[in-house]
Amino acid sequence: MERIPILRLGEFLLVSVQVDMHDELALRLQEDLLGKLEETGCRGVLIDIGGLDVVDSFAGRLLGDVARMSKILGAETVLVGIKPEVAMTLVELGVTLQGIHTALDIDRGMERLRSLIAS
Amino acid sequence: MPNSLATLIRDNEQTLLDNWLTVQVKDEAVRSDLVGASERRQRSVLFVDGVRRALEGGLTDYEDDAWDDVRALTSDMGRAWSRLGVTPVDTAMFVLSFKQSLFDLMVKLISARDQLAEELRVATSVFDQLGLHVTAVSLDERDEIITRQREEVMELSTPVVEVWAGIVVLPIIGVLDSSRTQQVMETLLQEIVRREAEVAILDITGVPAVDSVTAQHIVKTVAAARLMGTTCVISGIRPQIAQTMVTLGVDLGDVETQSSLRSALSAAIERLGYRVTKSG
Repeated sequence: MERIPILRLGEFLLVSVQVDMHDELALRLQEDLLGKLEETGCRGVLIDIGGLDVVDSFAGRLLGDVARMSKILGAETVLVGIKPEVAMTLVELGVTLQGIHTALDIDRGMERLRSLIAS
Repeated sequence: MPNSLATLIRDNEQTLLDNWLTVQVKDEAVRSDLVGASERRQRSVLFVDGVRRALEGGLTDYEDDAWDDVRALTSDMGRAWSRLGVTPVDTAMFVLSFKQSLFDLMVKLISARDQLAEELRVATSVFDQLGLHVTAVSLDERDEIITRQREEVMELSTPVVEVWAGIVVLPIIGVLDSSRTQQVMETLLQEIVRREAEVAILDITGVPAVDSVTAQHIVKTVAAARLMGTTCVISGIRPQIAQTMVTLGVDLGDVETQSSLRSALSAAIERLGYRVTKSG
């Protein structure tokens, strides 16, 4: 079964989406990630979608949902690597991901995550 | 079999051409400062030659393939002259002026009244359509030129300037409509990636008015920049604009605004953790 790998990096979970996120795969990622959070007790999640050229409204909303769900489980989420064309499409689709932290690349995302957890 | 009009043109090609060229000069059909005499002459020769060959094919219907060459010739001329600044009307008049020379010749050489009437009818229909064709081509070319120029102006009008490490400024000048917003958004987002900017300042000092549509566009741009992890600040909202915005009930949402580019820049510098102090 196709899955998106979730890596543990110290107190963070790192997810790098490289393949097209169809609905089923996205839902599975949500399940897996939340399960992993519970299992490890990590306090930060970094989702890198720099490999994606297309993000539809379902996947976009789901990423926002995952961030909110993680928050409930006590973890901050930072979304990194959104490409310009993806950002424009998401805005046009009305998915502005209000309240979700974003960063330009993984480096900055990590920095952001650390400062979020420290505060 | 070639019709009599073809024979007539073939036998009198030189006379016809000379007549036409004289008419062109007399009428000043095409501005001589735009199209040189030699080019005009060359095009005339090609045109007469093309018309003769088309007629020799025995076809007097403009829709026939035989006229493809002439159509291509006139298309080429319409486009070239349009680029030189000749008006579509002048280009059409140039083609139509050929009729006058041709008719003069026909009246002189065709004695049978019925035949003359028939040939005139055919010639009129063909050349009128050629005139319309060249007008359409010229107009199309003009439209293309206008579109291209509009694109060029757009590119010119959306420069993204890196004013500090991690801070880019995009000054917007002119009305912000939806196609412009698209362009602004695209340029801004690409530059954010290229320069790894953490703060982007959208300076709208040069935007004459902000209505709800413009505001919507600004909000969208800010939201897109935010998705990429960049804070986007709007600066340069003039007092009159702020007044109209509030009076009209225009909502910028939770977009951060600053009155001037200066204050936006110092706020951005501070946000990045720098402090600017006077040395000494």
